[in-house]
Amino acid sequence: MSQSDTLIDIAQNYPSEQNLSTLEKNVIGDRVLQVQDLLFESNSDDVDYTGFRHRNGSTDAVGVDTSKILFSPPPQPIGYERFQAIQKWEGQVISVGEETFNAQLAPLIGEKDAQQEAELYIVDIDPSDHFLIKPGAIFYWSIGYLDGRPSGRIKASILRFRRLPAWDANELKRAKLKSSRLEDLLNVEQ
Amino acid sequence: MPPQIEIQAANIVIRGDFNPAIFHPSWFASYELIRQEEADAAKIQIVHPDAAVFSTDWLEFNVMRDRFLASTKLESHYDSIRDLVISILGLLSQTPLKAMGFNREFHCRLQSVEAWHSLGHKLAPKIYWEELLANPGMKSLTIQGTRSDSLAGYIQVKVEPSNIIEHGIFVTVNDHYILHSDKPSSASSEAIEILNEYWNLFLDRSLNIANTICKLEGEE
Repeated sequence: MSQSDTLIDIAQNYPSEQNLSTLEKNVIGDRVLQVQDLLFESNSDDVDYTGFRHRNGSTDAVGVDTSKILFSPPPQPIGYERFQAIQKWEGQVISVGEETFNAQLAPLIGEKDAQQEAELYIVDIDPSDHFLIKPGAIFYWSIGYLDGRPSGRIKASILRFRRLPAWDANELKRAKLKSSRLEDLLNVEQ
Repeated sequence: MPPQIEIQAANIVIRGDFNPAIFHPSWFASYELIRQEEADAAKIQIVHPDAAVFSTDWLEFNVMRDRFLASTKLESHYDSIRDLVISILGLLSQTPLKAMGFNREFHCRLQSVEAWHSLGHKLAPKIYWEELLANPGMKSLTIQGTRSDSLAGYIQVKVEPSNIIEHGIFVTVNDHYILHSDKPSSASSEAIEILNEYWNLFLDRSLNIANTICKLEGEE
């Protein structure tokens, strides 16, 4: 159902004296309340409660009454993809060549051996991420199982570069420096 | 077959004062926080002054006026969720913030129906309930503990029977941080620092909690 079809359908079913902007406001207001109720656990006496989880038994957070909204959500999938990492590294690019780049890898999940260097093919990276491949760039490389597909489990390798606005990198540096100083202090005290 | 975690997800929730209308996928792409292709393919449910809800193939994003949520079901993207929230907090450093929560959820398959019942009995002994109710069973259990670091907040663990996996359990861990800073820019910096320092620790701790609980069923 297109958005314009839905608006026409709603307009026909509402009193004629309501104009479309009022209708839209009411419908969106209802929609907002539905989303709010369905997403967050309300059984808390803490006004700043930060717990969130998908409804137990639901593969998606939002299940809505489509008769009152302007946007029709896509049909709920029967299953959904999920990825379980069996090995994961945080990498930092050392140098970039024509077809490959060298990186230092620090293990996060799986075998936690010492840091190691690796040479990776640029063609294995999504073309829209190639501009991120620079010396010093951080990426996360996961190898694991991709489940929830009708065709069955596949073993997958997912490499995603870190995306931070440029000036945030300075904030990150300051935070890391502070953390490093604290670590040094704790090591001295021990 | 030992107990196995089969489904999991992680998310970051922030409580504060937000302007949902700006959180359109195109805004994210304009700052290169997500790929342009991801923004173009995003499934937008609503973008409105009171709510913004959209999803990509790895990200679920929901913002209300007083709540912010970024979630993923892909373990490969747990770090990307953290980076995304750091970026947003940095770009919107004047947003008043009150609290932040790290959340992770697991559906764990147990070995058998007997193991499933056994775990329920261990977590919530029925001896006191059997006099009060017929066939008492654990529906939901929440335990809260204090933080062992210097930060204000708490850690809460909830366990329920899983509604997705037969003879499974659903474990959720909420790592709650109270943001104390009086100035919005300080709260934002504080939240960024917590994300940088504690996100990976949270992932390790929550996984350990879930694994320990799942394996209780096998312990005498």
